[in-house]
Amino acid sequence: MPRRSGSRRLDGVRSQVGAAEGHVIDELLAGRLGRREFLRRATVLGMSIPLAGGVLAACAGEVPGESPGPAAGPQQAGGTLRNAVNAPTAAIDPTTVADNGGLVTMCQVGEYLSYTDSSPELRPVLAERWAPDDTGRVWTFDIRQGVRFHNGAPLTVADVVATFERLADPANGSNALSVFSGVLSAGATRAQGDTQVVFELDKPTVNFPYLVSSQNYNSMILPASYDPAQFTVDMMGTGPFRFESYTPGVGAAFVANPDYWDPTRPPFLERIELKYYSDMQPQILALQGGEVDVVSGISFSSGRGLLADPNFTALYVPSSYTRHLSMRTDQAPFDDARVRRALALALDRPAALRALLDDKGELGNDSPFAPSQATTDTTVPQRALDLAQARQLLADAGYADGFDATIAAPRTVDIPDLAVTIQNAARDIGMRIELNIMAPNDYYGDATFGASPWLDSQLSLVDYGHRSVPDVVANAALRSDGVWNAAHYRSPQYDALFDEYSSQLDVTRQKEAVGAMQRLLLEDTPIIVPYFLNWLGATANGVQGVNLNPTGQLDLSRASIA
Amino acid sequence: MTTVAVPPGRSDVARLADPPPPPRRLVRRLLRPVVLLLVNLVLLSALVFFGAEVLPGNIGRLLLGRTADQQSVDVLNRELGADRPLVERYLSFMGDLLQGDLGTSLALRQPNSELLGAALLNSLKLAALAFAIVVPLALVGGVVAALRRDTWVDRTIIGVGVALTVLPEFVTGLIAILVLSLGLKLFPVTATPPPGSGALTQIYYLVMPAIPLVVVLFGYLAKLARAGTVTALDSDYHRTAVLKGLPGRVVVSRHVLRNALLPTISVLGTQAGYLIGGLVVVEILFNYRGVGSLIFTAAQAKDIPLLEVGVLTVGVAYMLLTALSDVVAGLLDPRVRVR
Amino acid sequence: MTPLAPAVRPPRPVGLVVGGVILGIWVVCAIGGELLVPDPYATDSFATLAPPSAEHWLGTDRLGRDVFARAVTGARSILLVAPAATLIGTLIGTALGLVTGYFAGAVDDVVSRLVSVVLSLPVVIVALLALVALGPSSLTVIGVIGFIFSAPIARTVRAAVRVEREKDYVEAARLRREPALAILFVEILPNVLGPVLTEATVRLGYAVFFIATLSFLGFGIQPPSPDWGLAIYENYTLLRASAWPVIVPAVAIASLVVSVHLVAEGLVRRGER
Repeated sequence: MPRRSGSRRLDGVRSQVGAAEGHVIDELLAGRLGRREFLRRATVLGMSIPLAGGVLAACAGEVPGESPGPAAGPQQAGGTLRNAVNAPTAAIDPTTVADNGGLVTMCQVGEYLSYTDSSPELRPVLAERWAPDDTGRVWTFDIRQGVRFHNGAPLTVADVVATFERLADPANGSNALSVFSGVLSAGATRAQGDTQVVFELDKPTVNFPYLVSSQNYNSMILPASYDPAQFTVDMMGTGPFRFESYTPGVGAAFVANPDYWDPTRPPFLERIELKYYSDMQPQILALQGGEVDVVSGISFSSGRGLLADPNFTALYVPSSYTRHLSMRTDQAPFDDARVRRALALALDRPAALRALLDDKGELGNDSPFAPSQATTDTTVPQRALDLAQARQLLADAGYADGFDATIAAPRTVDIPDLAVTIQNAARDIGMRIELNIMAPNDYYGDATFGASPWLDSQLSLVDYGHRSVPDVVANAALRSDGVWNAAHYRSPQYDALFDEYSSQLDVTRQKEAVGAMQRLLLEDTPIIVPYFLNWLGATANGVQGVNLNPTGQLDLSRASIA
Repeated sequence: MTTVAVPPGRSDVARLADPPPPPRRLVRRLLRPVVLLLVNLVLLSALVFFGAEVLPGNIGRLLLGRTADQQSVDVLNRELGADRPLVERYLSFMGDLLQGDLGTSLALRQPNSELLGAALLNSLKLAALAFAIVVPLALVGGVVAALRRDTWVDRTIIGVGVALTVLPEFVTGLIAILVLSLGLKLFPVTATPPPGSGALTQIYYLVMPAIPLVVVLFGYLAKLARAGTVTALDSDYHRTAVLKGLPGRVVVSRHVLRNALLPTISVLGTQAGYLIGGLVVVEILFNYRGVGSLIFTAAQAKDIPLLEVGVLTVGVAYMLLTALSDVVAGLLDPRVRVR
Repeated sequence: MTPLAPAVRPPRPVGLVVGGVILGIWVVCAIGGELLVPDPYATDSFATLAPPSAEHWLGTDRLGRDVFARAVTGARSILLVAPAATLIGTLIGTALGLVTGYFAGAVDDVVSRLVSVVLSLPVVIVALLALVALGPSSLTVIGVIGFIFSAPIARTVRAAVRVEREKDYVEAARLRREPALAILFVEILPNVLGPVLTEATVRLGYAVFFIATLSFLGFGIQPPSPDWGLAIYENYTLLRASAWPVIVPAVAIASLVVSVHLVAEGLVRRGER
């Protein structure tokens, strides 16, 4: 499509949007913004996907489609889909849920203001559109009208305000407090008229829409009258499926909601069954035994046999789900950056990725910035195995004969295997590493400095869940004052770059800051990030449209069975 | 001393039971076991409570996850009463127990009595099925071994049976899964039937987890049945029966079997105790919601209240069944009664 | 006690020989370890879950480690931990049994009551609770299993001591005003060693059983040890992809527990004759 006519169409769009959005469009036109990054930025700023897609189409002549799970051929309506799910480890209360089983259960009935999964775009759901003021401190969300809860009550702005007030009030002990801390305080959410909700933030936050999307999985919209003790009795939500039954420790069932508000996305399935399992292994055996149709959120180490089995359809979703090996930068011998780089250079990442994950992931480059995240600078050179240089670095640091060290790690999914792999790699350069594999609960301890093997150990391995934007991990795990800074990394330079990144509305400068952080982290190497994992699941053949969300939700709204 | 292959887990309660009370006044004789049982129960509760309470871990942090805000953790800990002193918690725990209140699970926030009741029922179903399979099997095996005493038949049944007894349940369970579920596809690999299943479906789902239990129990029970049969065969009573000209088959079914049954029944009590408590491995391997897996998950989640009442229940069941089986053995066996 | 098995003609010690041979092979494996086989820790990312081949006789596990090498070297952990736990249990149990059997009264009452309470809980559950509290490691497993086993051993020893206590030689020692400790350990102990050893041999079989079970539950010996129970715990979801990393350690555990059992029973029989 000729550029000129596209630009003319864009002028039309420009007239519909605010200053920040206009800025993004300018960036796109100036060629400083990739297509993917443009989409992400535009949707964060509240441009709808069709609108943003229109912009892109104007520029490049294509419209981005939605990307649900594998959908081959037409999907049939009807039937019951049986899903293996981790048994919820705590009472299911959307405000406090912190476990996968509880999340998968509640997300069958509930919806968020917007939805995001493995792709960084936000899809408007219960909010139709949103926009920041010029500073990014005050955000206004237009709440969708005509939506009804399963009991017939209409969704109102009061419900939305109550949901976020509940999450932001420390008295409720909500699991979203760590996300909202320093951003959204109690009393900062208010209704504006009958259709708008306004968030007045503690500070300008460019990525705020992510914090009230499905990414912040506790932010499911609940009725204002919500009572935590009642949730497992009626599970009131607005979603395409309605609560049917819940038996603690055994399972739950949901039926299609005939009155679902979105006529373009009616559920195919008639009914959903969740079956709870206390462990991953029985879930996989259950799928193989034909007792369930779907398993999700499985670890590669436990699901490997299944993923290779032609009788089942494997689902792989790229994510920023990852592992960090933190090295105490304030204690000998890892206070010497050369020692840290030596260990990083001794690790054969492609081999680790192949052995531990059968290449179902992407290589890590010792920074929390994942290839799947839009702001990551992919031109930063990938660190690779170099034993000669590693030995040289160790010798330069005065450890030619090696030394003894210990890795503390939680006993969960691939982490013990990764610890063994790092132990073997270290052996190649004379570092003698012992493993201290602990129950996850003991490993995290109080999760505060001085009372947590995770944060206090010389070397510690930890997992970080998927996030569409790198802000939380890049802040908490590496900034000098970060609450998860297990490396005890103190770099004024990094802190400054991070602050620059998080306060910039200018995309190019934001990406530059990330690139600079990536290079700095390669030089300093406070953490080793060996890989980013795919989010994994598998279905019986014939099941279509299952959308695995790396955040942990299992979206069955477009699923069908043959 | 004769060694009897004792299934692991059930320990040596029968063998190590307290010496019989001297025949003093009847009241005292009846009272003593009851008092001892009560003392044991109190000791058990203290042991379990303080044992469980020393488990390290911050319960609020545990429930909310490591990325939760410290404020939320504090709120939850206060709400759950986890910040009160230990002795105070023990006293209120015991007070509630005596009033029939088993407390509430920290992690699942449900009444422990509900969780435990359902789990106990499940464990009992599994145990009942295992017994229903193993008792006839072991009786037949033991009687046949006794009738073919000291032949290869005898040595094979008892030798193999006893050797299988020492195999850990997860080894036999895995082999069963491999062969019967994955290989021949005869049985499902998980033990929990679909909700609302009929009795037959439930039994069908429970066959696999029952197999390791049957394997563990078979050798022990078969050996007892054999010993009982041998005693009966050697008795005057049997010789008289044969001399009277009764056909061999009738002798076996009428007299010998009855004698073989006695010791078998008398140990069922202690075996049931083992089954209720020692099912951890089987229940986990087959994802079955019984008392064993309940205790295991509670221990992992450090769900102290649930853990305490779970372990306590197992201990109580064990003690009661041991006492009961002593009584039953006494009633069944005249020699024991005389003694 | 009524004999459960009538006196039969002395059986040929087939069980003892077979058990002894299998146990001997595993002891050799445990001692020889890495000297006998390829590196059990070496990973091969190109050959994970490989089937048996000339290079890997019994295939490889999920990290490409040699299953045969790990089965052979895996004998070490259990053959160290199980006897160590049994030894500790026997020492504590014997000491407790001697004291409680000899001094009737308050000490005996309290200890016996505690012992019977511990015995009223299944071993796996008690061990599990202790390991959750103390954190799993080979040392804690030894301590916990040893402590639990001391209870039944104490009971056995106590019963034997009660019989011995009434005998003339003890009375004579008392009249000679020998100190109580000397009577216990010099006079009585040698005479109750028979039951002690019998009990210890039987316990060893259970120790193997329980330690393998705890490892399988993830609360026993920890990675990267080639321990058998741990290997099953780590690989059992992969049964479909490759059964070798599970079957081999399962067979190893089975052969070890059966061989220990055969040897124990054989020794006990010989002791009885």
